[in-house]
Amino acid sequence: MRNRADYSGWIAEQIAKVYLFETNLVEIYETQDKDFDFLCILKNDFQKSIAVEVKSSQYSKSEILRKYKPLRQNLLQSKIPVIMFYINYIDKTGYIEVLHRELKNKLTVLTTQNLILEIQSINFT
Amino acid sequence: MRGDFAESFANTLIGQWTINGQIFETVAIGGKWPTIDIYAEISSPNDQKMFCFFQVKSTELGYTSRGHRLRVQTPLDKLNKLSKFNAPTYLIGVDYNMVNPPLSAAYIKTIRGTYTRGIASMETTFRLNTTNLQLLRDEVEAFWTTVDPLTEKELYVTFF
Repeated sequence: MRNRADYSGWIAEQIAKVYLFETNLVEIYETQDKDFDFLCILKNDFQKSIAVEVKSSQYSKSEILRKYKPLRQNLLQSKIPVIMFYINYIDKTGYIEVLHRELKNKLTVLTTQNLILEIQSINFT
Repeated sequence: MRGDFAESFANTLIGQWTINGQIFETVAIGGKWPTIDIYAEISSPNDQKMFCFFQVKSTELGYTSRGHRLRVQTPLDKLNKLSKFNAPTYLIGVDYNMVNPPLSAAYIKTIRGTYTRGIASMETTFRLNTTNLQLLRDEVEAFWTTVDPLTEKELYVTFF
């Protein structure tokens, strides 16, 4: 069985998938790409994809922005938009952030509705 | 109601952390295979791999007024197909929480034997929580200890 550290990463990914499935906007694909945890394809346009990176985190907003700054900056180099999930697996809450072209330092509370809005607001052009 | 959501949600509940650590390691099979939605395994004290299968059904219809049964429906053919696997098999019913889906409730029921009609609702006696995961672990271990397939594996005729 997984140890606590492995478990927190696994369950955070599973919770992220629960929210993504709930949006009904994307298909989820596992990827061999080590830069991301998985890949999403928009159901209404298979040409559009989003990378997903999930962190198990119980940090505050400001701590998240500070602690993960190098990673977030690195993910900005991605050719496709990235959704970051920061999941507190204890209470299944968290924050999301879209990384695309620029670092906006804007974390949004993770709810299904907010996730839908974030996905719909991504400019793929 | 979205099947992908329910399977993924049930997967987080079966694989959740308990006071004894993570009891079940799981894989959500989903649409990749009929009948089975989740494969789960435990490690026994002698490191024997013991496993069970789950089918997940969800509903937004809530509960029956009589008996507080969850209104999940499972067709007859699916029940019998699930029941015929040579391993412990279970139905998980998810009561979909429309306000906050990740906080939905789920219940578990053993599926075995031959069914003559489908299920229109299921008991809510056993919620899929950490206490009942321990019970589930114990019965899966008891099943495989009784069946003892590793001994049979040593004995059966193989050409390869």
